[in-house]
Order: sequence, then structure tokens, then C-alpha cells
Amino acid sequence: MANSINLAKLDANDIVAINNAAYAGAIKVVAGKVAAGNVTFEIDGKTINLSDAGCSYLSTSLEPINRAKAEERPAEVLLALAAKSTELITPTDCTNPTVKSGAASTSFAKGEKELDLAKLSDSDMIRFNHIGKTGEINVLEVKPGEATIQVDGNVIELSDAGASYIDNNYKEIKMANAEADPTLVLFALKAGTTKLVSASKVSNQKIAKGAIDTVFII
Amino acid sequence: MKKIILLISCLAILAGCKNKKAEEPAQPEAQVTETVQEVGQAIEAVSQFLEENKIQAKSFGLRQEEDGTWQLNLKNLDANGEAAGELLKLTLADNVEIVTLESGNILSSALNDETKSALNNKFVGYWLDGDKISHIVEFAK
Repeated sequence: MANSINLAKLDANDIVAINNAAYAGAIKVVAGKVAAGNVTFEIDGKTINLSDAGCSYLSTSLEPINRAKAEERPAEVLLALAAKSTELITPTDCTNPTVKSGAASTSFAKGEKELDLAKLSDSDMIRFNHIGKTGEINVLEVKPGEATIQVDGNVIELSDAGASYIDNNYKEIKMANAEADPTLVLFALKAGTTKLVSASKVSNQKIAKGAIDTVFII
Repeated sequence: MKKIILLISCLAILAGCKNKKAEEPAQPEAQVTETVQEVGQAIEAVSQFLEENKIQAKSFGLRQEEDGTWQLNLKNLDANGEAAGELLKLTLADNVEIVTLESGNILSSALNDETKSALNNKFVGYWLDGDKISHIVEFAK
């Protein structure tokens, strides 16, 4: 976990978990749109532009806001673009004293969109972020094509033979339901493997194209 | 299970004796003492039976199957008191009672999405009736 992330150092496949008391999500860069003092990135499927000249703060409702609005409601500032840079920072590190003192801290961590449960040790703690939500995964049992896990305390069985997707209400769902609304899908068990994958990375393109990234952090 | 029923019957008899004694003070003292001793022996036998048949495990949580039955995920404890071996997925018998020491009593009829996490990551003793769990008691480790 870090207090900042430099977008210029990320590539198109990177994904970053962002956590604040009011919001948890995933950030990725938009190719060719990162310059000092003017950056465009994507957070949970929404494209955001922040700039020194315009809005340099992002609210917890994912709206770019200017300095005046950030000073008005500092507790609702999720992150800021550091001046003349490509770095997104926690609002608690802002130079603006009103924002700095009134904001809650935000942390950044590079994560993964795919996770092999068989390669984890018992002491590994897995977290995930998905459109404002964060949760914890504990592995109870895993075999190729079958996984029993705890997701925020809910025992979930994913299998190739049964339901291989989980939705954001922590219910096991089958492919037809996942296809009906891919944005509800948290992640899936990759067929024939011990890997959990973000819904945006499953082989079913109907689901992958409509899904919002889930990021796993160990 | 028969012995659990016997225990409940014994307790009912004991309660009945106490009430009767209060209502009919003329009952011989020796007869009451003998009944109480018999009940005490029965309770001791049932307690021993329960202890011998209790299986200790680490519970990882309940999950409801599509047919509505509840399944408990657990690993039995080894001689060192550690969860070991394969993950077991045992079905709860109808009307199983779960007694949790820290958060009060929960009956199976109250199991739902809100209460199902009561047995997450807890140490429990459980009893089997056939291949189903008939009773669960949480214990502190």
C-alpha cells in the first residue's frame, strides 16, 4: 500500500487498487493520455480527466472537482493530481491545508486481475475491490475446476460443473445470469484451473466486454 | 439421540418431582432422594455418552444448497487441536440446534443470509445422527 501512484509508470495491463474509507475501486491508465499536469485514467469503468488547469481532485462519488469544491467538502475527496506531475496522491498529502486536514487517507496498491489460489500460502490474505466495494477472500479448498472459498464470510463453491461466477451480492451464479448483467459479476473460476479471474478477463467475451474490472491484492 | 431424549425426559421428571414436593409435602423424603439419585445417574450416563461422541472441529461456515438444506464446511481437529485433513461438507439435520457461546442461541429455523456466518472460523463440537449433523456447540479455544 502506498500514498501515491505514478500513472506514467503504469502500462496498459496494470491495475491499481485504491482504498479509502468511503470508496474502494480499481484504476487503470488510458493509453497515451498521461502527461505532467494533465492525466486521463479509468476508475471502475469511468473515464476521468484531472488537470492542473481544471479539476485536480476526484471525489468519492467519482466526479472531478476543483479546489473550491474540494475545500468545501474535504472528507469527500478520494484523490488528487499532484501539481505538474503524473502522480495521483492521497488527499492527506495535498499541499492545500484545508483539504489535507479534512480528508481521509487513500491508499494505492498494484494488484492483479488473475490469481492462482493453488500458489498461495495459508498466511496470504487476499482482498478484492470492485466498483466501490472491497472484501476479503479465504481459500478453504481448491482443485482444478473446483474451489471452495469464503468471500467476506460467505462460503462460496465455484466449479466448472456448477456455478463458476460470483456476483456482487456474494451469490454463486451460472453463465446465463452472468451474461445477463456482466457488471454484477465480481469474479469467476477459470475453467479447468485453480485461478480466480476478474469478470473482465474471463474467456466468455460477452461477459468480459460488459464487465468492470475486479482487482485482487495479496 | 435416544440418550439426548432420555436426558430431556430425566430433567422433566426432576422438575416434576420438585413441583410435586412443593405441592405434596407428605411424600416420603427417602423416595424423593432415591428418584433424584436415579436422575443424577442418568444425567451422568448421558453426559458421558455425549462427551464420547462429540467430534471437535474447526468450522468455516454454513452454505445453503439449492434444495434449501444447510451444509457446514469444517475440518476435524487432530491430536494437537489443529484443523487437519480434507475439508468436510456435512449437511445439517432438520431442526438442528446450534448453541454459540458468545452470541447466544441460534436455531436452524433462524438460519438465513444474516445469521449463516455465526459459525465462520469457530471451534465447535458436533454430533452426527447418521451422516447428518444433529447438534453443534461452539467452544472457546
